Amino acid sequence: MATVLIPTPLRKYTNNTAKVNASGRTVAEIMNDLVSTYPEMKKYLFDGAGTIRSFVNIFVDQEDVRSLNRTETVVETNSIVSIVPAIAGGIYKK
Amino acid sequence: MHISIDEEALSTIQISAKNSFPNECCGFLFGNESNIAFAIEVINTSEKRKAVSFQISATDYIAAEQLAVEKDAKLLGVYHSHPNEPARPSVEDHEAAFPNFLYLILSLSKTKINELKGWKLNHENAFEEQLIKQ
Repeated sequence: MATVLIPTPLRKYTNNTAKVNASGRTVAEIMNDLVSTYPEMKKYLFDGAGTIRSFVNIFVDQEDVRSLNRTETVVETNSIVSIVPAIAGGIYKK
Repeated sequence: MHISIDEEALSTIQISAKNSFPNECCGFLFGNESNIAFAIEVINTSEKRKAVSFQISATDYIAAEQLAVEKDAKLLGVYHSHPNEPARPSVEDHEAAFPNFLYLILSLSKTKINELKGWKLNHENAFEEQLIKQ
């Protein structure tokens, strides 16, 4: 099982635990296993189409999966998967 | 529920906003559920116009989580400024918001600080104002 680091805003849904275990061979499988264990997190990690929200960064062993193979990035059993909120905003008007 | 803010944290946010004007500033808030004890400024990495937007790098976010552990404090949320605009969350603020995080917004003009307001997402995923006791 890989270790998943939960960011502070989402720890309410993991009983205030910062590190949890999840099963899977890829980032997609890990994330799906994570939300099946902690379903309250799902709406904050996935959009309506079931893909990971653009405001959620995922790192595998400190590498952003966008620079690897995205959600198909392979996760080893001793890997650390970090969920990192993308913090952004401002008064920008479209 | 109200949240108090220590002088040190307030000063960091105000100086950060004034020095960044007319651009937006941004940073992290630390303390406990009822008190903001200190704040740190980080670089606004937005690739849009920084006068109307802010972004914080993943590296700075990870460092903030680590700092919270080192200081035995909780990472409470983030602050940013709205130059020449009210301290109300924009559509962009809402799109990127996470639950259980405090979003402090400081409104200022070139010559003065106008207002500081705190916001959190409620159960309906809408921003709800949090009283900030200075």
